[in-house]
Amino acid sequence: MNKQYAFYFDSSRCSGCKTCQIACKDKNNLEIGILWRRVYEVSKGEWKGKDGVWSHNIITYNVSLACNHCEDPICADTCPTKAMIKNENGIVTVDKNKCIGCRYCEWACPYGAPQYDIAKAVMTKCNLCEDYIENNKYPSCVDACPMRVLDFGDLQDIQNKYGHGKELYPLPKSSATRPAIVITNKEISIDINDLNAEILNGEEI
Amino acid sequence: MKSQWSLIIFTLLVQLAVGSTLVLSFINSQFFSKIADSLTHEITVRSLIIIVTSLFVAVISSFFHLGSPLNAHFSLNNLSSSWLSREILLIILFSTSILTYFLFEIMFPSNQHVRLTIAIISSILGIALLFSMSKLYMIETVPAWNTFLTPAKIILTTIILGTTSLLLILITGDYSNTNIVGDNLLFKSILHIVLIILFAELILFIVEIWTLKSGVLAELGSFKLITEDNSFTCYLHLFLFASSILLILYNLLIPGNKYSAPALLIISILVVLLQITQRYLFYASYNRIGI
Repeated sequence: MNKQYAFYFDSSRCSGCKTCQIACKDKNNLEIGILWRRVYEVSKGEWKGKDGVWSHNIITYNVSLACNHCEDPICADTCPTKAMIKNENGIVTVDKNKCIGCRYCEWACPYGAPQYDIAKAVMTKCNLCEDYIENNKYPSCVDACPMRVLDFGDLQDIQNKYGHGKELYPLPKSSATRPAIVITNKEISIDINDLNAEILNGEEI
Repeated sequence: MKSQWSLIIFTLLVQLAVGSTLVLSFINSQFFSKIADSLTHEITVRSLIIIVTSLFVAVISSFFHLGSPLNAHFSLNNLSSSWLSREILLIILFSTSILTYFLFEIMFPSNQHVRLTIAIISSILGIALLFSMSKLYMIETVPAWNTFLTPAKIILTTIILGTTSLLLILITGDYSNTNIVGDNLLFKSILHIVLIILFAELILFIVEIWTLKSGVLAELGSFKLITEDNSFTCYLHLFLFASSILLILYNLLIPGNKYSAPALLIISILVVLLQITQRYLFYASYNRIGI
């Protein structure tokens, strides 16, 4: 493999506008119910009142997540037909002409990246806008972000520029599949095993 | 996870087929010199009909799980890392072996040694199939499935369904004048085996619930899926445990009991329903780490 392309995401400045989500959906003409990039609203804490004075211990932030094109992709390992493969650019793609729609990759992926298209009866997922990359363009989500919290490039370059952060609730430990992503957290973040935190827009996703 | 009836049917019928094969191998190895060959042949043929039918229905059912079954011929492409690919290969090999066994049993019934050899080969392939089925579900990112409980439950279900299948064959055949069931010893032995397995399954269920409740995020999610989102099935599962264990104990403890066919049939039905609810709850407990 020559390269490992990767996303960068800055959670400390993401406003949760979902422009990235819409750009991806528009560019790939995705059906209702399929979101290759999803924006999660995460929160923990509450407001408390005492003697007429209100205070809070709330932590809240947004997580914009597509496929992480993992260095150790569990979806490709489990796929019986090799429809799910990691190409020479480190991009994990799905060949719909081989996919049997067993959804085993969907069971395994801890990021919810492979998504079943009911109309086409095969799995679909983020492909890092391969066609744009071949024409030296950026993925549509990266270009669309008004807050400029998304970036893209070779994983090594991204890590040199932004560091090696990967852990962020509600994502699982990065050791599971070694996602090719760099994340900048807010100063105060939530522990990945915190039982009191929640995703507020689960039904939307 | 949405209801997975096609997979429930597939896995249970495959386990029935493998369990019956193991029981057949046992019967052929232990009894072919002790009881009339014609009797062994009859029980074997009836078992093989059940096994072949189960495998046929299982494979058909598995296709209903696929979105694009016409691409199924690619399913053996990833034998190097996919347990699903390996399971598919082993289903093919096991089915071929069983069909060979069936044809041999019909065309050359007098050849006991060849019959036993094919039975043993089929059993080995069946065990390998169960192993790949266990590994398939032991996904690293699904904590509720990635424990020793998954293969343990698969093994116990296989044995209990195989034993129940033999019980049904004995109930529905007229073997009263043979030395198989002359003193009801065989029925008593079968009920003891089923009872032990039921207790083992009950212990595993309790261990599973306790382990999930004590876990972190994903495990707690599975615990809630079983006990809250599927509470009716959970209570039904416990009811089936209680009723089948009590009915078996009742039959075993009555002095001079003749083990009537209706009682044994009811026990068999309760055991099968219990395995169905167990498998339903297994798929219902799916909750992966992450998002």
